[in-house]
Amino acid sequence: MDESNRVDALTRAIRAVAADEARLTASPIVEQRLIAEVRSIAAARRRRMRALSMAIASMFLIAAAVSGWWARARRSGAPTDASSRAASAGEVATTFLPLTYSGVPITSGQIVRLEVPRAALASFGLAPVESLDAPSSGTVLADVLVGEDGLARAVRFVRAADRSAQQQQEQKP
Amino acid sequence: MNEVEPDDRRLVDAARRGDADAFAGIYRAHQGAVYRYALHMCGASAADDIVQDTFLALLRQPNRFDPARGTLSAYLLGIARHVLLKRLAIARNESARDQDDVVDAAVEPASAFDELSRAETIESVRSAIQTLPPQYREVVVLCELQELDYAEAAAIMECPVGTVRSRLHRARALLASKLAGARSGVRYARLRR
Repeated sequence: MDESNRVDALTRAIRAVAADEARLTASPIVEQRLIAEVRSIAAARRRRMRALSMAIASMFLIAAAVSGWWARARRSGAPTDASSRAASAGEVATTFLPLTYSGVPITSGQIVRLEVPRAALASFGLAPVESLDAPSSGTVLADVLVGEDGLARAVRFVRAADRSAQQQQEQKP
Repeated sequence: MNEVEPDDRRLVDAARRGDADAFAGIYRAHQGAVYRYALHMCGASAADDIVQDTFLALLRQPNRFDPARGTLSAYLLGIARHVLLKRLAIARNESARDQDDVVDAAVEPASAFDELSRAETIESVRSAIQTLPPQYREVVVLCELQELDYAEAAAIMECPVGTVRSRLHRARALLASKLAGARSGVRYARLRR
């Protein structure tokens, strides 16, 4: 057999192996595992999108609440004592969490207490703890740091140290 | 092997977003090639794991696939190669053994194929491929069994096209030599029956 025939024969033999192996595939369990992974990616993506949506909605709600307060304060000339204060001794507050305009510099600001929807807590990852406190209430108290330009820079969530203190807090005019 | 894959980028993007149907389409189109490559390079026991790790890498790093640089099939085989190289700690030892395995094809010029049945031929060739040193086995699997062109194989193996050519030439010579040896063994066995 000459060289050319040997080469052809080897090529044919390798092609026969390739054709024989075309039916070989990975175990079906591999596909099942991978599809499960894809579905978990989809679920995680949905969770992220939901959290992002809630965060954006919360930002808007806080911004809207601050705008309302700002307009009232400007009409009356100065903010009321009840709406401008820091967390008192009978309260537990989170640290201040940055909002959309946290990067905009301010020379002075005020802390404004507002009621915001409970959903705002979830967007900051605080819902599980807070919901134990007053699950039936649709709103929570928040201290919002507002710059002299009326834009909210940061927020912290406040609750009474115990339930009776919170009830007293809620009864204040 | 060079099937048109116009929608690969779109399918990869959809799979990345969690579209199970898109992923299944990609998987069913390409898992066979990845599996057979892994099967030849590291055996049946690890081939499923290589396939799984390869497609997981596609899901977790989907932006690395660039259709302008090559087909999705070649990209997946490249990932599979990286995955299995991690597993093949013995690769370094085998490369040292490589020189011992290299036999001059001219030593046994006769052909093995005419005297063997088709089944015997397939089994003999498959066995001979398995005994090739990894770099020669790889080039045979990619260029001969998977029928990739030299450029695609070079991209997967991360080496110049010239290296692919020379390895393939050497691999075929080694295969011919091994099969000639197998033929002698078969003929000897038949004589003894």
